[in-house]
Amino acid sequence: MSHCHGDNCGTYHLCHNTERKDKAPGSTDLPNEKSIIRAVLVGNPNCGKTTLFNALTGMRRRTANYPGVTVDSHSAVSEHNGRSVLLTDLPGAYSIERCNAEETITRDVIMTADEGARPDVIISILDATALPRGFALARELRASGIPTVTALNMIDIAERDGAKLNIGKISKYLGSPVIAVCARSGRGLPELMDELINATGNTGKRNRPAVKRRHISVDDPPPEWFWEKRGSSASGDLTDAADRIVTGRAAPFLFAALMLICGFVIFSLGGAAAGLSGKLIESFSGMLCGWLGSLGLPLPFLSLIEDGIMPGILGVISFLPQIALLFLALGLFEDCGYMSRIAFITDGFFSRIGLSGRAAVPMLLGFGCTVPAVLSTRTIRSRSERLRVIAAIPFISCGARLPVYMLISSIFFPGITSAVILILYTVGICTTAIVSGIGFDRKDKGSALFIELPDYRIPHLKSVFLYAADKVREFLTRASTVILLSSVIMWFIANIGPHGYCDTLSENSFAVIIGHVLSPLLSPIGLGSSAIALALIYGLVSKESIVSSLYVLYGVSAPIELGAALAADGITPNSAAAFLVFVLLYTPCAAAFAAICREASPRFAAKTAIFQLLLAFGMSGVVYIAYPIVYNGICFFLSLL
Amino acid sequence: MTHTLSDLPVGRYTVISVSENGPSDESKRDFLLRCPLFGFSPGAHVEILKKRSGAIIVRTPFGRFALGSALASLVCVSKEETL
Repeated sequence: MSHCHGDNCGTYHLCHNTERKDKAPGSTDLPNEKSIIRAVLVGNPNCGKTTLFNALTGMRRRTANYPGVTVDSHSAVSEHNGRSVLLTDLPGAYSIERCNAEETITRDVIMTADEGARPDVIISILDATALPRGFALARELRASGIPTVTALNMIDIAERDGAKLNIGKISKYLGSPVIAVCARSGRGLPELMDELINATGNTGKRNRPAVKRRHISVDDPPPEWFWEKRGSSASGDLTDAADRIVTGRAAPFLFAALMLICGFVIFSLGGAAAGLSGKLIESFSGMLCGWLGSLGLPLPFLSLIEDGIMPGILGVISFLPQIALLFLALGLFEDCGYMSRIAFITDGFFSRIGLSGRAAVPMLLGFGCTVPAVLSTRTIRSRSERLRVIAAIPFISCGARLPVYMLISSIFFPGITSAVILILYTVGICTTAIVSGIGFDRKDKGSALFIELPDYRIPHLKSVFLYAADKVREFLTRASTVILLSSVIMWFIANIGPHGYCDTLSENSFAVIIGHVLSPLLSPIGLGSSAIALALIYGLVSKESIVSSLYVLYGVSAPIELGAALAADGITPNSAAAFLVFVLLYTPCAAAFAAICREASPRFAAKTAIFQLLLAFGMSGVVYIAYPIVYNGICFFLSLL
Repeated sequence: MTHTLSDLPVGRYTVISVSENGPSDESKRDFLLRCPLFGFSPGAHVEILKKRSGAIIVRTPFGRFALGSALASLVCVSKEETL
């Protein structure tokens, strides 16, 4: 079996986010379309489908230890014994006969009426540690009439617990070949691919089977003869013991302590690392600019590089340590099995605002990035609940806002930077809770939480690091594309005017002309500066762009210089506080807006964006006015002490 | 005498039925349709492992699940210990 590893392996790769149910594996354009075998991976949520998909294709799709991680289908080609197999990873499902909204993607791929789009073979994945749960779906898949190969995943854990499965009897019961595999170690994968090719008859494009709809009874418990020896359920016992602590009386304190530890590590440790990387970047930038200056390049070109591109990109990149730590922390939470428990722990709180604890998962993901958080709301059954969660998620501080908080608070609130950021996160969480409670009809219906709780496991460090590395790469890609482009554009409008090249932010530049139009709108909240107005507009492209825009617009390359420039532009601590609150609450970035459009509707997205803008304006105004009162109050209180 | 999972303390029970009580909504209908897939079938043994603010963690023959109070109240079980 030949595995492909990443994009440079020479093997044809296809990785697409199939947008909803209308995209079946057969609908992709592939080379040698006739000889490619189309296989779909189907199984219960959290049975290891994506891990198996990654192992078979060399892809690095996101995996985690809670149900509902995969909400879209993804495809990639794997080569085996000279045959190409297009593998499609489908979202988890418990049934294709009794499916709910989130499972229709899977059902529609298998039951599609379009013969050309129908898969040639199904890889039905069962979790070897929870065998009976997967049987209903496996038998439904077999009844579909499409050749099926069953993969008994996580066989290593079942064997570690002392279980010995009777593969022959399982195969007889399900009516399909069964291969014991371990997706993480690669055990059984060549045999699985062999069986998959055999199941299609080795004939390339076969007669596609007609889909049979046959109801399978799931009420009969499967007989004991599937096991030659039952396992000790050691993993389950450990999980029960851990759950007594994790979900017990101390659960809220444990949750709060974990959040505080994460915050401390990200802001203190990450802050120190960011300071160090900032100094390194600054000296590197100085050396590069000196070298460029010695080349005798034209002044505008030098200015574009020195005042536009370099500070714009490097100013954002210096916050890389915090971003990496944030995603490492999220990855650890997701991989150990704690995420589902958070849904249970928070259910009591969420039920008071008409939601279930299930809303906690997308909200927690929102601390990383709003886009996957919005996509993960697909696991919430009720549409009205889902819309309320989608509307509230953008108020959670995503990782992209972190550089803005770090920069502005370190300039205006030195010494209490971490406290200011903690307050901003708290304001975001409170606003999220209040907004998600809007529209709740107060009639207590009780919580409709339903979530499977997987066994705890020691986080798979490789997966966690790969996840964080992917996010860091995304961040760097954005820095080298979107932020580079926005820095260049920003430099042009800051240094070019109707009369040609001019000094940064001089009265003749386009930036100041545009800013003069926009700044009166923000003057009531203390942000009546042209540069601030433009930076906030660039924040609509991506939130990190605010940092790069401020550096470029003021023509500076270090936080100290930026602080001086902002102060000279009339930005005081109270307007800085208002600015931070505005960044926290105002309209999310373009990618998040597009995700909301897709998951709800363009109209809903537009309405929420306007609401967020108005709320940001109102709250920033309150902060701008109240800041001196609160500040003086705190000073007075401290003087009494 | 039968009780629902939402009324009972931590312990082992036998499922008698899963049926609607009170106004129906999307989540309840979804659960009623699919509950056998999660091991909530008549005669199945279930164990409440934890209760918290109306929500429960319950172990069924098919796995471990967290159920909110609205869904837990749909599962009628016998009060007597059967295991």
